[in-house]
Amino acid sequence: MDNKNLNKKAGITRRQMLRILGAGAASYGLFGASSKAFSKSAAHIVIVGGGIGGAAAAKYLRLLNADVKITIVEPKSQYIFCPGSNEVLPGWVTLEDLMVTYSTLKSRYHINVIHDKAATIDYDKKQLKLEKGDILSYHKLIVSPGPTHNYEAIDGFNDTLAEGDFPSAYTAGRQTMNLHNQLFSMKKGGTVIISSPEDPYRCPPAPYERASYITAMLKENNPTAKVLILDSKNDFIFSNVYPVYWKDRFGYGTDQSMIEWVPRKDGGQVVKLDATNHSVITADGHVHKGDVINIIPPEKAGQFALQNDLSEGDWCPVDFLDFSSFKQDHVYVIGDSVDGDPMPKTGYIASNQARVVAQAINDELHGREVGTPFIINDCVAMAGKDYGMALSETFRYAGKGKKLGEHYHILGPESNKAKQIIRQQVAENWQRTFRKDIFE
Amino acid sequence: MKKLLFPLLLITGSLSSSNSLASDDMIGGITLKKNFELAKQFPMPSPWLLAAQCSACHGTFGTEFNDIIPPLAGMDKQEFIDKMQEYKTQDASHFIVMGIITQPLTDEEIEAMAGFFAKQKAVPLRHKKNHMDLVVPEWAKMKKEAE
Repeated sequence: MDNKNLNKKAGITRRQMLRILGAGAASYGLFGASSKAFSKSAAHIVIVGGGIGGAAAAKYLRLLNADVKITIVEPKSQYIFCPGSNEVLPGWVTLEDLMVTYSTLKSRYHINVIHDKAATIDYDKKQLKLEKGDILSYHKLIVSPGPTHNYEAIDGFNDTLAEGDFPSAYTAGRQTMNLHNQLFSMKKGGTVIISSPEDPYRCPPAPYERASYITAMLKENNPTAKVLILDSKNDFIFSNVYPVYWKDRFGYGTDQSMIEWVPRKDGGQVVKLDATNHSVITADGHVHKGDVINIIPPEKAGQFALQNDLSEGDWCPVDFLDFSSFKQDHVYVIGDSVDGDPMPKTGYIASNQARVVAQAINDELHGREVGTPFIINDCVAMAGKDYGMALSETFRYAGKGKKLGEHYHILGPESNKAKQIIRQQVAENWQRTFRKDIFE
Repeated sequence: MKKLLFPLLLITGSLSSSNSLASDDMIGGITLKKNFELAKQFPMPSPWLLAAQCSACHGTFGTEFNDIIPPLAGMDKQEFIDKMQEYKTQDASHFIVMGIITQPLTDEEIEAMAGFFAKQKAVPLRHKKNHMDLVVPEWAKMKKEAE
């Protein structure tokens, strides 16, 4: 169990251990990062992407199987947890609060983490090539690269502008801080434009949660400011709750409202960014000038999946029995890149897809029939520090080649203040537990 | 101590059930009837996978006790079943997540989860702060007023 102590007892240092492991270990890419010695014949599961999906797959596979070799390929040595990152915008938490590392996955779960970028897959040789040149042989490959933010889908927009004056801030990071700073330095009475994308995209309620937080912050610091949500959809998740909250707190629906929502049918679809004039143009030709412009672009599967022939169109088709790719053998795709309708793209779902894959791979390694999948998605979103909401979805297997059977239930608005706070407390506490569940 | 939290969560319903309009809930996808038909059509998911689906909120296999979401590890099997059935059969608006999450689960699945969690090492209540009345200072007062 505790290999560190075992090694110590046997008088073997880590360096000696590496030497003993020798060429076998080297061909699997530096297993010395974890202190456990794996058998030469042990299966090697390689995971591309150390986000929620990849990290959960690694940890839960390890909980099922002590003998398998597990390697995560992830360029970043610190991961900023995306759930909760909207709270950085009004300054309720910092990015540092959301940072996690791979140290527990390495030390406690004996998972090898290589900080490099996965480049190409040789499907015949079952090998993954990394950017710096390392080649990893795999028995099974799990691909969990997250989404590609398709900035170019909006005319005049690109990743350079997103990294600069027009942060999308839709994956937690530098853009999140840029947007935070812009919001706090915006002129008195300024307008914040949030463009919400067409489905499907990561975390469906996030644009509305973000709009709520920003409006709450402005109400305190810049009460004559306005938030304008231009939506490429005609409806959104929790549309039975957010407007009720907005009406109560921000005068939504009146001339004095601090927040406005424009659906696609009323001209909400942003098609162009005019960076020079700091404005966006909608499909009906309307020009909206904004002091802070936050375009959340449409998404597609992660670049790695798109470039390695795992996608059909924008997303990756999989068999929902075990999330194995319909395009390539011995490869599984999980998380935001999956063509998973009716599953939404959430971290919660990615983690639970990861648990399904972990079990499926372990079943297969043991020569058993793969168990029936079952997936839950709970979304405990917030509108403010004093108001939470909840939805729950279950996804049942419906047979080969069929979509999963989804049943969902979204609670209506809560008028009791104590219950509003309790819902919010559940949401806030969930984030912390979830981070721990995946990375500790 | 562990038992404390569940009755408190139940009380949140009786606080103001008349204020929660169940008609404002949005329910969709396949019907619960169809959901149970699918459950019957295929082998039951493993107890491991069913229990693992709880981890994202309750910590890895129910081992986390944060301020408001209780641990499941080590819970008495029958107590787990009774609570889950209580959640499942009462008006979902009385609860936060558990009312809506239990409805699509079969009795066999609930029993399998109960068996799995009962076998896990119990997680003790670590600090007093976990008590709901302390977590939400206004809570005790509002509860009194509502009564």
